Amino acid sequence: MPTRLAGLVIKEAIQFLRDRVMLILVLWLYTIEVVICTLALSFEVREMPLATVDLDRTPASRALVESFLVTDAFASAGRAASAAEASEWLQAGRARAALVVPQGFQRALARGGTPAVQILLDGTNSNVAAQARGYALQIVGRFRSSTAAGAGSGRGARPVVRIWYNPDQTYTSFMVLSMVALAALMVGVICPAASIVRERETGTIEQLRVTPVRTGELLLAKTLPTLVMGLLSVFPSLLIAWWFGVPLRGSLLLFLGLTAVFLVSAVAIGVLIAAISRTLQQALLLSFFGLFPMMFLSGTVAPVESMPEVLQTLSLASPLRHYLDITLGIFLKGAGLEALWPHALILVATGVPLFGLAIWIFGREAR
Amino acid sequence: MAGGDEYVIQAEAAGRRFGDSWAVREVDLRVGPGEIVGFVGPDGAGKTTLLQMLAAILDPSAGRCRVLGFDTVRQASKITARIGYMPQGFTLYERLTVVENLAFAARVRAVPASQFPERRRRLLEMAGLLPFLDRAEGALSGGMRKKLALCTNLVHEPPLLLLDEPGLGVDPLSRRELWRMLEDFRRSGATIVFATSYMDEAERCDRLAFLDRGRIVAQGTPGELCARAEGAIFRLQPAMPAGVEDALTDAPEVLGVQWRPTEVRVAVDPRAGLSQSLRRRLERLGPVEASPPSMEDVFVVLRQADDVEAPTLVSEPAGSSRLAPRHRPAVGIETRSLTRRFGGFLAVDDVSLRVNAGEIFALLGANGAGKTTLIRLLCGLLPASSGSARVADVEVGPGAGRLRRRIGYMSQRFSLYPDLTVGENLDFFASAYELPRREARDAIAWAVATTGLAGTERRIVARLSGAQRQRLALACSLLHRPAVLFLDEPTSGVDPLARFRFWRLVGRLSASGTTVVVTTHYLEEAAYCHRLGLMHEGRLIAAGDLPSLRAALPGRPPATVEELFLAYIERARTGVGAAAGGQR
Repeated sequence: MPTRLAGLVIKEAIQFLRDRVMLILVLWLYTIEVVICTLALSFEVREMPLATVDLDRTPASRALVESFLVTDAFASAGRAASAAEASEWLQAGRARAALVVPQGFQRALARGGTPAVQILLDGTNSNVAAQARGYALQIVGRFRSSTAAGAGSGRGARPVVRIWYNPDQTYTSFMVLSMVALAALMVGVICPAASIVRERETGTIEQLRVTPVRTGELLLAKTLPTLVMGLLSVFPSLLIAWWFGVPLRGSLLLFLGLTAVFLVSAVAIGVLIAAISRTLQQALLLSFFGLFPMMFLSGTVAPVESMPEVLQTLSLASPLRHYLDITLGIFLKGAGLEALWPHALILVATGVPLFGLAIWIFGREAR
Repeated sequence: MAGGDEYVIQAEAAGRRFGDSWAVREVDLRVGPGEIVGFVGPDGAGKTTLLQMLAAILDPSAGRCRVLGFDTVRQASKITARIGYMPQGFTLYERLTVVENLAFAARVRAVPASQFPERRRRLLEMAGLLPFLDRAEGALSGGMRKKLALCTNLVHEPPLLLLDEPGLGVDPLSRRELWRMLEDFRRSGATIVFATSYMDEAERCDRLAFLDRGRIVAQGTPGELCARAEGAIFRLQPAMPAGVEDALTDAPEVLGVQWRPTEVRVAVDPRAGLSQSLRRRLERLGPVEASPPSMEDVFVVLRQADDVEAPTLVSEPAGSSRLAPRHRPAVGIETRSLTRRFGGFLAVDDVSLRVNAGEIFALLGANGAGKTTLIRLLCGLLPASSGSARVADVEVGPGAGRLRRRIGYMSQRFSLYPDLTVGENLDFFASAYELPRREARDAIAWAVATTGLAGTERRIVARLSGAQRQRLALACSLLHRPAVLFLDEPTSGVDPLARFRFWRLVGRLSASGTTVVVTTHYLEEAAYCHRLGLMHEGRLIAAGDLPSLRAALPGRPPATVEELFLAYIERARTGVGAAAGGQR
């Protein structure tokens, strides 16, 4: 390595390692934050208070109500006298869901018809509501098939077996992996941005500009410590993932390699932010302006499929989305490079121009 | 005053510790009402810490302080609500206007709304800020910002004003106005306590406290302090300055040497006096005579002799060819109609200038006169709007990598990496200049010895004193032996002895062929320079050596550089007509 670049890299490494607070924060992001977020953000429906309105009062209707209440998903919030009362309970928060079995339910069943039952859901948290809706439909579906198989009287309707409850933990795995990906994004963007803006604030960046050091060399040196730290931090995260029971079906080496590619594109965003910020405060605010849309568009918080068409297209520009696809692909599906290369290519294709833009902006300052 | 104390300030065995080291130790200090007391002493002596303790911002780790009759720990809020405290540097809100800053200060100090308009008018008039009421603080010149800061500390008419280096980074004209405001304020019976590195400010005090390594080592009137150095100071005018250092080696009675522009002052231990052998050695170089001590001499005599941080002898490893630049240019600097605009504002206006190789050229001017912008243009840090410049035989312009290797630049802010050690900073800058490993090692060893930083290599820069940082910044800019060295306010806030030492080194660099361009607000330092350039509102209004600048003025030639400077500015102002006064 040429003297200048070696000097820059050594300097960056010393500064990075000397900043204990930063090191602890990085480690925190990759471990404890992952645990907290996974536990907190799980939209699992569990013991959701359910108001039941049984207007039919027949064995069949009781069996249906029972089949809701035996699951982990729902717990009884009491019997309401009418649909109106149930909706009052929903309003008051006493119940988060209500099941209304109409009069003539058993008779309709016996005739081989498909009587409608009404399910009211508190849609305040749409994710939870959607989840609950899914469960409710499943329960009703199973009830229907069991009664169809039985005598039709509902007499033989056994309480439905324990509900299919996230058997392979796809949701937890998804959450753990997306939090690790988010940590990589935050570290990749904020570390280099902060370190460059700090040089601006102490005036050393100007001092560098009277030395033969070139902008590209400086930015390259800023990338390396973040890259190394980002890759090393993956290992404690792996432990967390293992603890949550997330399987690693693909190649770890491939994961590390593609993580490096992702980190470079995140660093490019950080460097660009540093190029246009004058103070640390500005850089941090700008980082957050960038991080939030990237996070929301990536599918971490809400599924990409449920977004409007425009946003779905826009989400392709979020490096986090591609990294998430890579991470989920390697861990859960055991995907290899032959399946993931388009994502990697897009990461490179977004990172390189951003880097170029940042170098150009830095260069312009001297003009 | 509460409790009927007869003193405004009363400190008893007060000390303050940071980690393992005591910044202030066993300080006993009494200040009576209406007194003006100055803290002087070497950099890092604890002046700022002591002021912060008195301002009830820092609690003493030992002893106690009473201010205005209140205890600084238990009744801190009573003290902070009453006093005025002006820290170093610029501490107002840059984006608020002059009026908004003052109004904010008045509100937090609970100045009655009925009295505010009158006080505002009076203070801003005194400060000469009435024409700039709606200008953002950050857009004011350094001198105006400092005056506004003083106004915000006077708005509640405090009985006690604590000032930390009020004149730091302020041009001589503004400094004069600042002191006029302080004198006015003092007539109201208030007490002023301040820290300073300007000896002319020290001489205004009723009483001085000389601090060294956290202790008050001497207190008294300026005259009494000077008397402590009586009989200790000898001046000589050597024909061969280089011989002085040799003559002074192995002379234990020597406390220090000051390289003044026209003489060398040797301070010896006043109890021992000048030994015969040393006198003989010095007389070989030129006539030696005893001299009445000045305030700077007091520094040399009072500070502890074994102070490693400020070796008063310029120690120099053999083979001082290291001082010589790697490239010897034909001309140091030459500019043609160099101009830089910021929007409609002409920061540097049509400057044509020539600095010969090996010359020390000082740029003098008020804050905002364009000195720093000119230096930044010459370093290639800013592109010129028009005109051209050649520095060390290289045309300044885009892609001038060759220029960067030939120049050294030390910015006002002593730009260093605060989280790296002294050694790591030096290593880094050596690699940035692509010095091969062996050469880098030699260069660093030399720079460390020359700038008196030996022994500090492993210390973190953030914990160094201002003067140590200054020397390190200089060392970093010298490693690659530049042909032209730009020093922007290199001596700002540095104690007088460190300044003398610094100028001695600059003199030696120049004698070895380095061209030096320097800015300073200590006008007496102009005497160290070969030629001066006076800047005013972006223009170079005069350039030449001191005698010719004096001679060019009509009438009686001004005695001091300050008067000369003011006379030229006056002439420039009247020369361009009344319009120039109001515009920035």
